[in-house]
Amino acid sequence: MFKILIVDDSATARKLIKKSIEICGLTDGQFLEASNGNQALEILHQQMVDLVFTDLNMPEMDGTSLLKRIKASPKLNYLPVVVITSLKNQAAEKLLIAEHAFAVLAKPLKLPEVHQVLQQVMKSALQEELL
Amino acid sequence: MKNLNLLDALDKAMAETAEQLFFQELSEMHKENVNDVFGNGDFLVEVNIVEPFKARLYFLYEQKFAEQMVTEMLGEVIDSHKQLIDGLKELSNTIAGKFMANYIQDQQFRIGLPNFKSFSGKTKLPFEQICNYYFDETKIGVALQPE
Repeated sequence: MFKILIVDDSATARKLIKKSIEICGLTDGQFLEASNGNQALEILHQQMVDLVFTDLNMPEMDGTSLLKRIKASPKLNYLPVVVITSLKNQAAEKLLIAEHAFAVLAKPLKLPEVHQVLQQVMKSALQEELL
Repeated sequence: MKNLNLLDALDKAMAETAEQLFFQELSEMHKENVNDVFGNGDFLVEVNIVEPFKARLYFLYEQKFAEQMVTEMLGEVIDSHKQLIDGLKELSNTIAGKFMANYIQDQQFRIGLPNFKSFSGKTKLPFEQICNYYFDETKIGVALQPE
């Protein structure tokens, strides 16, 4: 079962992200939730996850710091991290991709974009398995 | 992409967010006196713009339609005031972010976390007029105040 961690300080946003993922076809995924970067790291150190969706603007530890911590960790850096944010413009996207974000999606989410990202993640997961 | 002016950036953010999140079409915008159109029991959300300039965005929501708006966003009936507050904060955060992304493309910007407040005729605001965005069934008031 594909395990997805959704990180956002808003319960509304977490619900919207989860629904979008389900509508895009991932109905049998297991969803885990965290409301900031610290909570997300705790979860990631306790269990294996296949994909992380994170907001940027959060209290305690923001999404950029979470992304950097994941990518700096030899244990976690395999994880694709998709940033979902209302702060997306060309400059922010460029910076986040340079920090190895898998993709950067703008809020409100557009279903075709979510679908495309999920397909890309599945494809690269399959390729990793075959190697 | 070409940067828009402040008002065009806000108009675009309002129209796109409303259409995508709670499926209402923007019909028109009027500048009105805030106390003529909002009153006791309505809801206020403030979002600070931190970089590259300092300002505060104020969002005003009608009490009678706020619950419906959040219900439409989530696709399920909300059953607590906490959900309503969280929904309005998320909506305001999304509009604020989209507004800034429309206005500034070539540099990063930063906004604060949304702050929810109840509104009454006695609530002191640093402005008198507000941009009122009218949708099919409701309106959202927005004001931008430089700091």
